[in-house]
Amino acid sequence: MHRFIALFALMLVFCWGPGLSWASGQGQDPHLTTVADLELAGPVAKPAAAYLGVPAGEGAVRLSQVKAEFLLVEVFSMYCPYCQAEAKNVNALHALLQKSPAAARVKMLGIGAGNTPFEVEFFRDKYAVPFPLFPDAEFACHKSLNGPGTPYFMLLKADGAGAFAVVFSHLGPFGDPGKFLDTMLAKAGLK
Amino acid sequence: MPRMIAVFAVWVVLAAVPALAGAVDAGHIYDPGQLKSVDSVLKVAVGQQAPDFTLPAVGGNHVTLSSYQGRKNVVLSFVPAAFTPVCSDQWPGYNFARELFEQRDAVVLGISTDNTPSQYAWTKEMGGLWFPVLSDFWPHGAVSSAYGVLRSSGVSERAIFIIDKAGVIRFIDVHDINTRPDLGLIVRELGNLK
Repeated sequence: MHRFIALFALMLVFCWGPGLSWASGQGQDPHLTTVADLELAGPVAKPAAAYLGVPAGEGAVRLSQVKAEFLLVEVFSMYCPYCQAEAKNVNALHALLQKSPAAARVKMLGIGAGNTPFEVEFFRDKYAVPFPLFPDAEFACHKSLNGPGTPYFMLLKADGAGAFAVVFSHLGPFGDPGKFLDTMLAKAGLK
Repeated sequence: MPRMIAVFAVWVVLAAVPALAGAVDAGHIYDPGQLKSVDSVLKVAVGQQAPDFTLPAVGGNHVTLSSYQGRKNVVLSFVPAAFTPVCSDQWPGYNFARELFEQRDAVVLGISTDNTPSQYAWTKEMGGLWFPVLSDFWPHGAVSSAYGVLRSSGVSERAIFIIDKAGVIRFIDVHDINTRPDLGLIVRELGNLK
């Protein structure tokens, strides 16, 4: 038993140090409780517009224009290796959400921190991302969110007055998409 | 014993996460803060033959620019320093977008004024790069100076030079050192080459 405990402690030392990279240095969890009505840069393609219930076209849209009670927002970057590695899981999360009873109440979107429209489009194409992604080339949204590390996930609840309460947030890869969705929906009282 | 095996399996999964290719541990990044956007005077121009050079690469070999003539378009990517914030995702981004360069018959040559051992440690932490990383350490910054992108602090600007298969400079972006050049612009300019 002592050897078992010693082995486990050794493993923790090895794993936790470097494993904190998305949560230390450059990227922190801002632990926000509210989020402003962010402006999402256009263009908004027709499928994205139809999903979110916002106007299609070149113009920007605001979070508050999205027709949903809850918004699941991923802050990512094309340049972020963790975001690249997590892309399949995030797609699976979206698929599970769409199949769940909460689908009509929760919409999902991504914000590409520091990414130009080309870079967001390349990321979308490479991973066949099925939900809307918005460029944030000048880090305007990212700064408004106090500069979280990536990937960063937030479940937001609209207050009806243009602001959003952060119901749940998570920094870094989330592991099993089903468990992650269950956790989020439970926090939101949707399960 | 089965419990030990289970713990070991968990450890393997956890240990794999930080080993992701391209992930430089944020704790290893030195942030110099906001710098003067550009601190040099360009010495070359679009339409001019690119100054030739030979520099040592991380792999132990030497790379000569003119060796690509007639074979490949070249994207010279000067960056200021290893283990700094913007550089540490710019080049992994070019790893991610490798096919965009290859589809346009282009190779990237990454250059900084760091010495080779520093570049080796940095690129190893990035999980390796598909393109050569060259050291302009000695004579210090000679190539950066020849192109007019050596800053007064001794590091290179964050600059992109696109050179066609004839060895002619076709595009220059001496970028704000604090921000990343748009990948889309580089790809578009490569697409404009004959």
